[in-house]
Amino acid sequence: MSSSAPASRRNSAISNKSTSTTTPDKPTPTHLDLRTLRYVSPPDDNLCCPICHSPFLDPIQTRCRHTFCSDCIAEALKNSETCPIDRKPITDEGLSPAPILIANMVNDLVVYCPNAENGCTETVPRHLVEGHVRETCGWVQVECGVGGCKEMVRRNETSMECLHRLVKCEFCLEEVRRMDLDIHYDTCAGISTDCPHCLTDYKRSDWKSHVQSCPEASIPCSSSVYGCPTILPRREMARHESTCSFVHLTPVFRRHESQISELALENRMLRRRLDLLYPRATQPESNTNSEEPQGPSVLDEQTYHILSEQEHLRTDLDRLSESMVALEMKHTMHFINENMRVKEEMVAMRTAINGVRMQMHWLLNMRAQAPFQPMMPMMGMGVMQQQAQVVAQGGTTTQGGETVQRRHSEHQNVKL
Amino acid sequence: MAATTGSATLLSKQLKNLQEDRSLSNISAGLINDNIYEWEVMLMIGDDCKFYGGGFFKAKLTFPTEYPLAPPKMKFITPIWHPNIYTDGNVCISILHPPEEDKYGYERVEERWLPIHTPTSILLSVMSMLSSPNDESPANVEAARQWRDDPAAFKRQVRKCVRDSAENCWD
Ligand SMILES: [Zn+2]
Ligand SMILES: [Zn+2]
Ligand SMILES: [Zn+2]
Ligand SMILES: [Zn+2]
Ligand SMILES: [Zn+2]
Ligand SMILES: [Zn+2]
Ligand SMILES: [Zn+2]
Repeated sequence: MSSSAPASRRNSAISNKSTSTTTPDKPTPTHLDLRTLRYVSPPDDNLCCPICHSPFLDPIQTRCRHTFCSDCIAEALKNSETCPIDRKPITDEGLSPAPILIANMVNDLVVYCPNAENGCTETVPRHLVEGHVRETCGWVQVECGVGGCKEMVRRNETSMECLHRLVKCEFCLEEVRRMDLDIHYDTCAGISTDCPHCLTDYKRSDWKSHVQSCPEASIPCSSSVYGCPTILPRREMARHESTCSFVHLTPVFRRHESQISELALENRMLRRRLDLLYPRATQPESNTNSEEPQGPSVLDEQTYHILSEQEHLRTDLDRLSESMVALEMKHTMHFINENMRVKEEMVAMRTAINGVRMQMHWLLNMRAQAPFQPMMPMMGMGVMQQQAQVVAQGGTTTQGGETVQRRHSEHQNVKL
Repeated sequence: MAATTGSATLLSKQLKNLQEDRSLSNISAGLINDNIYEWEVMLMIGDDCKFYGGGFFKAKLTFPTEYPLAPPKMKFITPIWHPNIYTDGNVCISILHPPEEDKYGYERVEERWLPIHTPTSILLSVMSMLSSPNDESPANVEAARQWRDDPAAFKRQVRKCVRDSAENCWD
């Protein structure tokens, strides 16, 4: 470094500052806050102001040999007339420019152009940055000036022609500003473009419909919803789909889907019916469910009552008719039993009556055959004797028996 | 306007430094509502700190536009029981008091705010204040009395704060 260079740098920095302060009312694009500059490499702490923690701007030394930016120390002294580091009293007279070595070191620090975010890639020593922005930076907005045009334009876009006049797009015949033409071309519907898949030329407006059928465009397998991860160009998809097991299973999936949705529907209907039958159990739920107003639920309750009543009646009826049948059966059985018993009894009685009749006939016969024999004494003895006599007279009584029977029948006709 | 942008630039730089400094991993800091003048900081107190070890204390730093010429204010959001912290959370520490303001009287001027202080230096001072309270300028008189006269009760009270802070720190 030559000895004259630092002095000239410092002079240029000062002159920059003076020019920017002489034209404060014009909001020139070159106006620049040096505190916001970004440094290419992190600055040494010894070159940083202890107040603003940035490399010194116009460094100033106090009488206590501490260094600050001139603006920083001026502001600090307005607040308190002491050194911000050691609190020693300071007045404006106690300030002097810092050693030129320090000033040169901070002025030589390399910074990014303030328009770096817009695209300027320049890095310059800090004392040159104002000149760069004012004179050469291509990313500063300047007046167009062509034909008195007042619009702003980036410096690196200025040319002999005004970029603000309207021109006609040769493809779609729309009018756009000259400077916007490049952007317009990117979206212009009239410009033909290569399909990125099949590399055929299409008008941009047609391309949208083409890409729906482009054989080279990658599409997912038609069974991707059922889990097939394959993505292939459209022309190869048919081959894939003929072998894809997901595609083969798709009818099954579909059927299951529709079955599930049917079952869900049915389930919903059943639940609704259940709600109708047992409204009490689901009351809190149906209350929170705002879909159903109060009216229908009252109706449901009445319907429920009627339905349950009917159900009760039906079971009652069933039970009654059942017991009726049982009763009938029982009655019939009873009747038959009774009947049979009566019949048997009647048969028995008839037999008994016949026996009695036989005896009576015999007795009558006996009386008719032996009218002089006293009947009175000892009935039992008499009967025994009579029987014995009958047995003894076996053969001889046959004729007599016939007459007895004849008489007996005469008696019977009379008596019975 | 220049002062405002200057302090904003400085603060954003200092926030970045604080967030990136690995030696300060026990401090996390962020902005409230994207306002560079309002920081929310979380102090994760190490176990070496007497009483307060294991605590997760959230605090708010409010910077004036004159910063760094004027000090910020610091207020704990997490409830904390300490002789130098008001019950509403405001921190009373001499480094945060401007030198010309003399309402306390007992603070030496050497300990007051200087424009060369940074959020990092403030938070480190506050963390050292936690472990060694200054009972000459009590902000919480009851806590100061307890700390002096009934250390066991003071410890109980602080440990409760620490437990609660650890439970609620992610809310
Ligand atoms: Zn000093
Ligand atoms: Zn400074
Ligand atoms: Zn540039
Ligand atoms: Zn123009
Ligand atoms: Zn066009
Ligand atoms: Zn194509
Ligand atoms: Zn497939």
